[in-house]
Amino acid sequence: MKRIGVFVCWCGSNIASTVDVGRVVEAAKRFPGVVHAEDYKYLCSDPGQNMIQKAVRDHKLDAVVVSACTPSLHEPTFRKTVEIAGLNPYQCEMANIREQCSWVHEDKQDATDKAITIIRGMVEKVKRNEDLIPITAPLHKKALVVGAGVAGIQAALDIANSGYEVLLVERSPSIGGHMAQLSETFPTLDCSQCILTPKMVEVSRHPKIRLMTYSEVIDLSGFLGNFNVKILKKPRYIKEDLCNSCGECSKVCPVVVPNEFDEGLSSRHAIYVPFPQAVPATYTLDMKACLGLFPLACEKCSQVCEPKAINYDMEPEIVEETVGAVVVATGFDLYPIEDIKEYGNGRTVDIIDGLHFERLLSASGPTQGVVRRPSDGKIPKEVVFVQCAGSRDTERGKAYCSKICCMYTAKHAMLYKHKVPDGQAYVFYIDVRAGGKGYEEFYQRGVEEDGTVYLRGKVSRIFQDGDKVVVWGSDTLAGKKIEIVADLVVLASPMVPSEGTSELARKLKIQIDANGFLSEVHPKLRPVESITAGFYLAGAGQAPKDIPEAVAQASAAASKVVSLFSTDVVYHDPMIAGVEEDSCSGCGVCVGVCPFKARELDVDRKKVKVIEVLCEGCGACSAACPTGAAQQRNLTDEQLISMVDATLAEKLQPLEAQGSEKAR
Amino acid sequence: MKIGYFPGCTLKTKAIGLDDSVKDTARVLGYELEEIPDWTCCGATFSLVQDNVMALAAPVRILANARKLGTKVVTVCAGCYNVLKRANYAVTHDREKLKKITEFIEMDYQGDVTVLHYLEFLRDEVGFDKVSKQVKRDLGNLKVVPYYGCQMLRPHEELQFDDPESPMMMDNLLEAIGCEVLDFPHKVECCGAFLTVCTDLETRASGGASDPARGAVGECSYTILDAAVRRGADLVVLSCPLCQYNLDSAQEAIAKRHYSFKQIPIVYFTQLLAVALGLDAAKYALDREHHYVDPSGVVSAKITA
Repeated sequence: MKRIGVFVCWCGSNIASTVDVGRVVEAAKRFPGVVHAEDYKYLCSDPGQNMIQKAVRDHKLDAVVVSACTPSLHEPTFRKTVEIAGLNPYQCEMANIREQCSWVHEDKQDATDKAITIIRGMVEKVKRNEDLIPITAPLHKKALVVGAGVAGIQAALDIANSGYEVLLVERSPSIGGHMAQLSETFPTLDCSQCILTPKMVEVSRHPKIRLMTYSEVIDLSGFLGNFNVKILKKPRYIKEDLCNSCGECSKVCPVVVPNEFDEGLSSRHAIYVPFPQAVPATYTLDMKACLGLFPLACEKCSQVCEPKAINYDMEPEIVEETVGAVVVATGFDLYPIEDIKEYGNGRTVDIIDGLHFERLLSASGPTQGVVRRPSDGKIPKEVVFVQCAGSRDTERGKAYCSKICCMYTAKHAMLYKHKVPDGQAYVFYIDVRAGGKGYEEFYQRGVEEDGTVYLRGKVSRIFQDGDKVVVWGSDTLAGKKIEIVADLVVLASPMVPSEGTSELARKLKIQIDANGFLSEVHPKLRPVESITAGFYLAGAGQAPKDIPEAVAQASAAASKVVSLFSTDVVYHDPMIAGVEEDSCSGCGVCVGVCPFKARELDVDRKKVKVIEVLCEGCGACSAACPTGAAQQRNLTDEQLISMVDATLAEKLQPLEAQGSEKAR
Repeated sequence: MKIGYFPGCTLKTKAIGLDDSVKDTARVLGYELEEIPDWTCCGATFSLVQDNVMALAAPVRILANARKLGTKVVTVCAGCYNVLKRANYAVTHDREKLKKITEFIEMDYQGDVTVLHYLEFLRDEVGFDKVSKQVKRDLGNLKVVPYYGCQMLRPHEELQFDDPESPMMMDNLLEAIGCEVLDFPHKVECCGAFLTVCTDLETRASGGASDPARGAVGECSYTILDAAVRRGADLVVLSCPLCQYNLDSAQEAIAKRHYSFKQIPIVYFTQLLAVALGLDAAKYALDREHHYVDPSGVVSAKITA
């Protein structure tokens, strides 16, 4: 029989104030199999750990139960401790008497009884624990970065600069994302394109980065260190290596469609380059708009293309690659202002969103940086900015705070005033959230130097009246209803995950939250890792964030990838569900329930086999298996039943005693 | 085809033109609106007291009676629609309440009646396209603004009528029958509602009736009406008798306070529908007798036979 040691932690007063630790130790000493029990104020401290190691050696312990906090915090600590003392780390289990006992109870007597019960169950489990060794798999030291906005660009550069190969995939014709559209950036007012384009160029020239624009991830399989990814390369109808960006093709193209880069405020041709600094610097033929292909009616671009770069017969291509880690940097879109019915009902041209206004401010924009309103091109003299338009609204919009709108609105109002000195900017706000380095000062500067008028209150309705846009709101500080007859209204609508994020998440088998943003493992301690191993998150696809935060998170994700790549194999938790072949009937029920595709049916042998590295130990198969062949290691049916028996033993005994009393 | 109909008290008194025009237009479109048996007042306002089941007794009794004629009941008064639909929502989402009420009123009701506003009926049962085909008179010269008020729209979760901020159902019907419908951002602004029956101390002391222009009602109505006039509307079109009363009767007092104010007639959408379908306008109270601002002039001037 195994020799078991029980160690009870006080956790200062966290446990000891509610649980009588001394009584727990005395009780534990009497459990069958327990040869040693003692307590200590902080087991996780160095002396605490040394105490456990000494006890393992002195009492020749085979297994250890550490009764302390939740295993999600200190299980690695204590497993390492017993490993140093010569035990297999999986012979150490934690009994959680803090979160599941002392923190949630008040009565010391009852809490102590409960702690004893919890430990007794865990002792029964650990008696039957096997020695396990982690599963290893090879590691492909190449990263996939999905999305090439500023976050994706930063992550790709950081990984590549550490010497690893990067595959950077972007679905639109150029990299750069929304940051390329912005005019100037808060709080320093440096030109967005000027600080972004050097990074874009670096990406395109980097020998370790393979850039795939106009491409989408269509499938991904495999596991940490070994992902097989399929990428669809959409036909550009232009040979990138031949195109010299002369632009002759675009000049002759007869088709005119709205320009996405200018948020529809200008037009482009069917053959186009999104913006002058686009990377790669090659034209793209938008086949949905082109007249030329069916039938070959136009062909004007092909006739003028000197390097003969245009190929109407280009086909979509599927590229397959193996990568070891994936950085998901899919970015954001803005919540559509058409959906905010009380704000113009989506039919008023002079009600625009923040990105529209960025294009109006931008020197490379449709108005060359002169602020002109979309309806008639007039320079607006009264502009109303509405913050939280669709955010912080639990009933009809998004409940969350979009975080960056306070700052970009302050910037918008300031830049507007710089460009239209006789104009007036009004901002309706709920709170001004200017947390960040230099942010509050920036906002104050707008108020003091540029005369931005801040009105605290929500806007109830915005509508067109003649050539004016009327804004109804309230000033809750003055307690008055306000009507502003404006020339232009800019709605700070919230950031939402970019279109297609949820579909991509499904393909990658990573998790999204209730608002569709990519989920991190832990909001504080593991903020850049996805719950699925091998996936890292960067940028506004995870939550609304501004440029510095997106860049910081991208670098963090990259460093996680680099630290993963610093070893040669990946280790996988051995607590997986195997197959006891003698009991397996080959029914295949477990294959269907496995969410990780870790189980396969060998049809010839009528047995299920497990791809161990894919198994996450969720236990779905163990619950589904009708014969008990799918047993999770160190959580077998036998262990679970013995834990239940041990836990209920004391509760059952008095009943039996009562029964026998009655019989008497 | 016969279908259950709940007119409500107001349609038998003040809003007689609304009642007649609903029944006659339905007939032209091939439906017989049959008044449900033994109907009473719906309660006029939906009680906001959550645990007061007494206030639900009258509307549930009406619904139970409506069930005798079928699973649908049509109503056109915005107030009745609001009360009946919310009462139905309340009891279908709380079976205990339903049991208590049905035991009290000694009637069997399972919550299986759908309350339809006449606009919903025209859109879903008849179809606006079919209504459009039946139009006999040209209303093309008539510029109208639809006014929805609040009772049909809110609370949206319970009523599910149309977008509460930007409803379009009446706009679409009026377009279907040939009117020129103007964009009207004030279509869901408050008309002052029940404040119209409040009498302030001063007025009460002088023995006068309520004076809507004195307070909120007059100003609310003025905002809406002035916007309609400035947009060039000939008529304000609505569905709620209370809105009709407020917007119409307040105009005398408004004119005294706002000298540039131009009066505008207020009509029910069903009255216009009756005219469009070729019925005799004179039969549906489009006259001086039933309005403070007489709509007959506009109707006769703008509508060609």
